[in-house]
Amino acid sequence: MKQVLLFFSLFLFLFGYTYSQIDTQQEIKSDTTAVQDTQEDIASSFGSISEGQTDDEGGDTFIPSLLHSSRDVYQSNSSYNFSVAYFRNRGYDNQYQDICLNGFMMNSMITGRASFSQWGGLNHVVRWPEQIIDMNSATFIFGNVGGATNYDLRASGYRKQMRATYSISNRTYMNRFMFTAASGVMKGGWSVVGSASTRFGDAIAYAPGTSYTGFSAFIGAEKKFDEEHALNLTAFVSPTQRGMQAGSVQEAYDLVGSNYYNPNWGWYEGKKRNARVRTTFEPVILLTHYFTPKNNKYTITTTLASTFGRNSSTGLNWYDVPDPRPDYYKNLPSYYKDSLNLYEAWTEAWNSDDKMFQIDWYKMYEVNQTAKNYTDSLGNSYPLRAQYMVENRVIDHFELGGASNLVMDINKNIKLSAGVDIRGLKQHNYKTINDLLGGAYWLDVDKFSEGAQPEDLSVEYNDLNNKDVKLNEGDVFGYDYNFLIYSQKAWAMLNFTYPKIDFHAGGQLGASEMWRVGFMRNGRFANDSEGKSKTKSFFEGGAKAGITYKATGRNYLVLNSEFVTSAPSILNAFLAPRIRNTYISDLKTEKIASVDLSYIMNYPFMKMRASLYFTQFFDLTKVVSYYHDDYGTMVNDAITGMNQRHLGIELGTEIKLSSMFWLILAGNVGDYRYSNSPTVYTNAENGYDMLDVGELDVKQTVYWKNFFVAGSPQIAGTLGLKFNHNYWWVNINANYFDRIFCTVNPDRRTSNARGTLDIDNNPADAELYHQIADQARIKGQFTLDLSVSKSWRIKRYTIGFNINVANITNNKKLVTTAWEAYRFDYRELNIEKYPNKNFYAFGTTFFAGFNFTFN
Amino acid sequence: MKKTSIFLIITGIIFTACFKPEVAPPLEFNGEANMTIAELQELHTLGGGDPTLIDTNAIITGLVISTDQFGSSYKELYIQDETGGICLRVANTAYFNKYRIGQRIFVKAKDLYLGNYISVSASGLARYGFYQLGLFGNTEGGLEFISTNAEGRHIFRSGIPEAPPMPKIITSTTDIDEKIGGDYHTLVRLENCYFVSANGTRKYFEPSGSLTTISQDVGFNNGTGTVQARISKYCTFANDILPKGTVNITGILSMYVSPPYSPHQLIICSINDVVVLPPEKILQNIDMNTTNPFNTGWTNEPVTGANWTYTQGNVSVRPDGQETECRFVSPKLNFSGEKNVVISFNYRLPNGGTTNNAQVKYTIDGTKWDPLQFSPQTGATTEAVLKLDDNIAANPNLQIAFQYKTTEIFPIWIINRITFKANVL
Repeated sequence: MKQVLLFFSLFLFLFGYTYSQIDTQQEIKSDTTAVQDTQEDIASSFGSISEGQTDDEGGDTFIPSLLHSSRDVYQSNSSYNFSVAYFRNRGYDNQYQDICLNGFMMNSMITGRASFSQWGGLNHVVRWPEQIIDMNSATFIFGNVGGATNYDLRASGYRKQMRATYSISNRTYMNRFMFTAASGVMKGGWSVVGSASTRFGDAIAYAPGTSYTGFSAFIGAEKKFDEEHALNLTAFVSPTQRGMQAGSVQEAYDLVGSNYYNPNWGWYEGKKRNARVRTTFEPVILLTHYFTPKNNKYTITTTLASTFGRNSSTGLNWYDVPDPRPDYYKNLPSYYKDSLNLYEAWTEAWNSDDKMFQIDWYKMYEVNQTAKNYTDSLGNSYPLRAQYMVENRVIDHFELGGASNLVMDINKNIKLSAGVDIRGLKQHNYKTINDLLGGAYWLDVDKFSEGAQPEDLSVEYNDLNNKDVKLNEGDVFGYDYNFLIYSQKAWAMLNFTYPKIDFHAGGQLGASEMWRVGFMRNGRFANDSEGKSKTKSFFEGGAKAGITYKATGRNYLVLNSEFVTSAPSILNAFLAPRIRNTYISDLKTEKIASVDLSYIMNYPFMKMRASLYFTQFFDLTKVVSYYHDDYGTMVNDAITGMNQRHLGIELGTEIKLSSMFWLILAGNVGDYRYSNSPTVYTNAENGYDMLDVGELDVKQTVYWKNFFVAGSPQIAGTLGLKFNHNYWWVNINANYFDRIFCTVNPDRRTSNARGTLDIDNNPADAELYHQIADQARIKGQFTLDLSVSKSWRIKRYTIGFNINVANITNNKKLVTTAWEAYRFDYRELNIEKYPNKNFYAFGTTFFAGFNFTFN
Repeated sequence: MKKTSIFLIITGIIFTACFKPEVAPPLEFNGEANMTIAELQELHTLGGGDPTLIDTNAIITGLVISTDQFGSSYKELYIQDETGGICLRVANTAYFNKYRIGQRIFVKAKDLYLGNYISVSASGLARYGFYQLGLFGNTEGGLEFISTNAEGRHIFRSGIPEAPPMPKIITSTTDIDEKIGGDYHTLVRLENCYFVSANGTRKYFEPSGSLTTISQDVGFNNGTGTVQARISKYCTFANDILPKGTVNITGILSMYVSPPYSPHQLIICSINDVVVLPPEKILQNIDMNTTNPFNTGWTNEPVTGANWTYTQGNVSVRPDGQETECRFVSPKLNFSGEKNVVISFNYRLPNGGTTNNAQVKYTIDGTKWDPLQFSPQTGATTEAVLKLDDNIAANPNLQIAFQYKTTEIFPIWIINRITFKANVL
């Protein structure tokens, strides 16, 4: 009881709720289906929303953690409820959580993050993972500081069933049908499972112009040859096409009167036409061999896997014409605020004419069809040179790899887990012309390089091997290159179990290689763009250890630690991978050191986990590209040697009020900051020596030590009440999110941005400096969620429904992502010229699913 | 338990408060100047020839003395060091935010061109300005502007802005030659001058055909000549009325060689640089013809010998061959808030005697008397004007005394008017 009082003194304002699954799972096994449907369906609907909200300029793509059948009292009560605010566990980027299918790592070799959309719509079959929380030891992988999850897709693991689900929602899509059939283990040792789903209907009432269409298909077959060997083949694909929403500036939201204003679309021929359409088709094939000798002393699981396919996204491109984006700063009334008449005229136009705040497709067609002729060097004239067009940014990838892991009971106290992981990836990046918008052809020149070097006109061309070629729809232009990565790792973990203590220790060794192959000779870097780059190799290693003190059968003290090194993402390794083979200066292996201490309590009347955690990231890298007002050119900023410190407290509690009611409390109070002032190398993309320093990099220090790492609320809490009786589940949760920060522009924290402001002696200078450098904090918000589910067992059938209503109070002020523009007004030091952008969480949304299962 | 809870909460608060966001230091140039502005200027001969390419690694430094915030100095950035000033032609149309007055900048002159303003009229009359740094060409009479992306390669700020250089005081056109010499494009202050055209209605910029810049003549009150203040149509004070009366004007002095016109020009950066002086004001006037000063608080303080006495038309002291020491002392004079106060008096000292005999003194405590600078002239009635320091004049216990001391036969000292005036330059 004293321990309870101690932690309540720290968390007076945390709220929570849970789907308690520990005892009730054992009691009502068949009802977990309904529970799991509720959790995973709802989580996946939020997940689709977040993917639909991705914008290249903004923050990272958020992939909410799927609810796993985790028994961790904090994770199970927080991961769903916090997903609406884009909460990240301990503030970690998703790349620090390992996601596996049949033991094969599915995290992208490019970004480091797993893309849950690859198996979107397959909720029936990709479920109930083995989830390792944080730094606890796993048997299928070494595991990163964010934990590890493995989905077992073995066909024999699905009980014999046929199952159908229909869902209706107003979130990402309106309708979803899912159907799954599994044979169970049949005679002859065969097991077969299949699943298919479709998602359709433009249901996002909040973000106009968005759309979602998705299909999914899954097939799995397993043959048990004998008691020792089994072979399983799984193949699935989830093609989707989504019309995206973009974040915008608050001025635009206010003018339109909606925090869900989407500048990506406009009317065309009576329909909403979105300029940013993302299309994915990325099948996955897994061939898994299971070996368990007759003595059952160990198991070896070996998976060969391949994932391949295409991920593309359209976007507008333009040349020598005004920027067509309606929320471009020059298209907003604030740009004219120095002239009252103009300001009022622009404001009136925004209030009355949707061509002002949506894409004017007709105007782009008109411009193209009245465009001036292009005259080449021979004097030939060609009419209808397109000046607006829609491009398609394509990523084709092929990955092949294998993972094998051994789990062996050495004796009754010691378990050995070990494995190897080998993966290779080739990713082809290029863009094509999608739609010339009435123009006859496109010329591939870089608009930011024209005129930059009058003495060398070749810098204007993206492809010197194809200068002045008139390109048509489907032709490749702009950039064309491959990323290649090889990675190999071996790991081992020993787990020791004794009456009073458990402990584990393990290590990992590996290496990664990366390089680029360019297929275009770019005029800005004619000698450094086409062909193979140098190969960069990185040693990767890690060590993990932990100890659990079992004070009693109900009280545990757990200490975990980990140190791991990994290669930087290839996206952050090259300075400008679209156009050159040069790596960033001072590229280093990233390192992470982490420790956490947890107290776990498990009583019939109460379960609790309280944890302190501390994680230090070293030598992270980041590359951003933007137009630099002071240098007057596109630049790439490569930040190296970046350190981050994440620390905080987690609490998850379930208190049994009665046989039917549980009080749930879960929360996190974190402090995630940059812990040093890294170096940034600024490089003009047109190859210009901006400062005449004899080298192309302008080296500066980013003075952002102790600024907050954005991307997740650092305070999140949920307080809830759960009712569970007679296969009824009702949950109501009040959630609170705070310490939400804006992602900072590193350039605004350099001496170059401060200039020579006298902040010590001049109050006006001090105020201006704070406007430039202070990090914006978003106001905390509350939300209220309700879930109801019920299932009935009728002979061999199970019928159930689940309804979730999120954000019942319709709070439309919750900012999920906010970021500063990378472009900065160096002339007048006016941060309002290029203001922050953000996304808002949707207001009240619902998700209702109806399940029918028979077996 | 309670203590532990309080400890944890306090620790949490302290822990969070310790991590203050870092502050970026101001920009500092990584290098140093290797040449003065005067040395750089020697690389080019002013006149009609092509500008000179600077092909050596020349680096100069100076403080910014101009601003385009108010529409003057458009695309022309002036800097000054202890040897002179120079104009940088920049394409930046709002440089005042970046290059503030007093800002030290370093200029890497390599690959820039050193030249001057050139204008040749249809009749062939050539006019030249002073030194400019820019890019090759002849735009609007000067070099091409240093473009935005080239600016970062040549112009570097360093450190917090300092106080700008003290302007050289110019009170006549002859001062220009004596004090300025060849140091154009530097800060000056023209004192005790006036706008020749000011009549209460004329503006700084009076339209003249299609001209976007005109000249307003500034004359010195001592009649020694004029300087042309260049006024742009686009400056914020273009439509302000030209002030009448005496003014002090701070600006950047330039040259514009084109005889028979004045070769000197002044660039006024801000309306605040034109300070209108208040007219002279009489604070007190004692006309001995009508006023007995001994009836208005003045007193005679005798020591020995003769005394100051009043006769209609004057006060005087006559030693008549005896040793004499006495003071003619004013009452307390309160000139608080007044500036540039002088004491003006008419007097006559027949021939003979030294300055020790006749002195004008002041006190601010009633006991210690300090002399004012007074060189008495003997002979006919003469006017003396003695300046009082503003600090002294502002003291409410100020007293003035005319002191006469002699041990010889010395002529009479006669004073027939005493006037105190303010705002006298």
